[in-house]
Amino acid sequence: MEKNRFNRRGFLKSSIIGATGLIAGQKAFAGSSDNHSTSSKDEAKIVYRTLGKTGIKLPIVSMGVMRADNPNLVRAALDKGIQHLDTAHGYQQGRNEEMLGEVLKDYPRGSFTIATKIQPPGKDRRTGTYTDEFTEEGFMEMFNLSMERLGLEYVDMLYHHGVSSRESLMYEPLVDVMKKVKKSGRARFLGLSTHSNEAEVLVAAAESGFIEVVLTAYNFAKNVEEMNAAIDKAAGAGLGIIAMKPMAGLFFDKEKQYPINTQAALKWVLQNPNVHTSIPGFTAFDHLEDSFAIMENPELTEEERRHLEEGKNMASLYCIGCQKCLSQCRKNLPIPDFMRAFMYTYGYSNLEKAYDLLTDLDLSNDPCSGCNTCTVTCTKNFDVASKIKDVSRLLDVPQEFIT
Amino acid sequence: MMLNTRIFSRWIRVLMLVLIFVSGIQTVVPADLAHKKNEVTGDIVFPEIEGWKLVQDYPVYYPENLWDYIDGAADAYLSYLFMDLHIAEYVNKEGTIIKAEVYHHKAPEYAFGIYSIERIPEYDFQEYGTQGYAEESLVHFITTDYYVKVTTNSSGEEIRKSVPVVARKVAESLGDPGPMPKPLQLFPEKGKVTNSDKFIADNFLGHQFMKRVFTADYSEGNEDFMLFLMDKDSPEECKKMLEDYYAFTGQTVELKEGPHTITDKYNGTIYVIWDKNCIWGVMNIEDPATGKKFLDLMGSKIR
Repeated sequence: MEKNRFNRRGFLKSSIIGATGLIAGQKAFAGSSDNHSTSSKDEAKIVYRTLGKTGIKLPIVSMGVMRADNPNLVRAALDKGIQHLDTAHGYQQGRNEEMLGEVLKDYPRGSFTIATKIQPPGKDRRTGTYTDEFTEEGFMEMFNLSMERLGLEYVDMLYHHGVSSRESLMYEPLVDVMKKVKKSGRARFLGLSTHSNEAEVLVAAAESGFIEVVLTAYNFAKNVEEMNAAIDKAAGAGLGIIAMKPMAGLFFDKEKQYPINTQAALKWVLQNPNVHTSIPGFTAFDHLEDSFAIMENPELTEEERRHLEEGKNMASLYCIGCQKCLSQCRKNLPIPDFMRAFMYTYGYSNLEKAYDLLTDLDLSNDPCSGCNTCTVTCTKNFDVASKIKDVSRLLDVPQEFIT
Repeated sequence: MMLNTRIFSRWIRVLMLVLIFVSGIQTVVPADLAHKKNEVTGDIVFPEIEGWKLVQDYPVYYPENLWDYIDGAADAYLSYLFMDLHIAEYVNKEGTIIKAEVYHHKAPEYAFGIYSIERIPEYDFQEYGTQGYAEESLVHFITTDYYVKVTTNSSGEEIRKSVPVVARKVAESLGDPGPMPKPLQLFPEKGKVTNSDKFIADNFLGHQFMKRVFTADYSEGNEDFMLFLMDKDSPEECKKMLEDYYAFTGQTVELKEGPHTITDKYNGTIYVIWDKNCIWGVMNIEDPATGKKFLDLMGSKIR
């Protein structure tokens, strides 16, 4: 297995900031209810929410550390008032936890909370379920290595990483070993992370009797009504709710031509009072500044709301370009191109672009003619035949009316 | 007349599309690499290995669904222009599995980049592809634009011994490995911590204006520091980067080629040299004379 003996002396050498002690006095645990304060660090106003029955009060924005490799960025975040850090055993093959360990040794243990995640051997990543390759020893080996890298006696939250079903969540050997870790005092609270089938997992977590915190993908672009209901249920059961992927991928489209207003996206997440904090992934100091700007003014403006709504409508039209349809079409039609043309027409109202694309394909205005039933099953459940028929009508329109 | 123009325009578009398509294919699949992929499906062709059954039950993962396979770690891969992931399992007669994951990135430097941020200098480096290392139950290596991970969950000694065998076969099947990224050759060998070099795709030092940076760690006397290099497309790009940096620090400095000292409130004092398309620098150093010595050493290789 990997070893924890890397001394990143050069890169980790502290700037003076990390050691200046701009840190609240040491407490038994960071954010414990008796540690709650609305006073600010660095003059920033910080809004706090309580993380369910854990009683931990956290700023509504926390730090997803997953991509950060600059320890000075973590120091700056902690010094400015970020309290909760989120990492995982597997991020950067363990370098992420090591980097955090180097930083955190300069901070009193009570001044921050930290979550790490374990996805033990024996998980079939296709189904999310466990095989007999899972062992308690395998889990503990990973957990112990994480603790060694972090240089901590305990983590505040230990997550089962990447849960996508009730069955996986309730896998008894894993539940047992996680409970043992909590009993030993090396994890204050148990939780899970989920970014697939999240609503079912949230409900299952609420009913599990042992999950205390859920880290879930949650944003304006995905299953909003279902997710809101599931989050309500989980929060109602006393679970702490932390949102990840709040920026919904940064762009509305796969081609990355239409960027999402990330401040608006994060504000949208925070409008839900049952979301107790969120973990946008910081990799730049600007991200940190943006987050504090949001904490000072989390209200979503009408313009921001409209931006997200319009973008979401467009997003529903995006073909993800998986190309699985290509081999299914009896007429070998370039279906992704037709889907793009449909998006240009109805998403962007850009008839010219759609027309140009269709013209370039050099196909008839009834490409599906001769097929009685469509053999294509779209990954995004698009009604492919109907969209092709609809958008191909553009070819009947004289070009001078298009431009 | 309008119709003729329209038809002509349509043919021009078709012709351009054909040209773009053909040139695109030539760019993406050079002749010497073409054998690595199935020409019809685009899938990696995994090698058959005696004593092991090749099983390919996993889907191909793309940027849209990489999260489904590696969760939040996917964000880092996406920043290194991940394109697709191909997975195969080798199963022996006892049912034990060795898994090969082939992460395909847009260019070799990006494959090196994600590999470099996951690697530590103390690993047991061996000959796999362009570079690789072996631990008890895994082999990781890069070859051209692929980052490959061969692993097993088995604790059996014999199985673990088979991991390098599978890794070498997969490496061979992926063709000529090619060299490490050329900018790495511009770093001085003296004092360099072996295998500490990295390629950072974006947000170097936490700044959005610092992209595509090669770095390496150094040790000299009591000093542990880092050298870095940005090879940009034009002097104007270098100037813009420095402009942005000085705007961030609030320093008022005449922007011209030569040495610069940047006082970064988060990252400390950074000494850099701008020469034509290149900017190289040193950070985390206490003795400016040592820093200058290494910047000069690097400059002699760059100029």
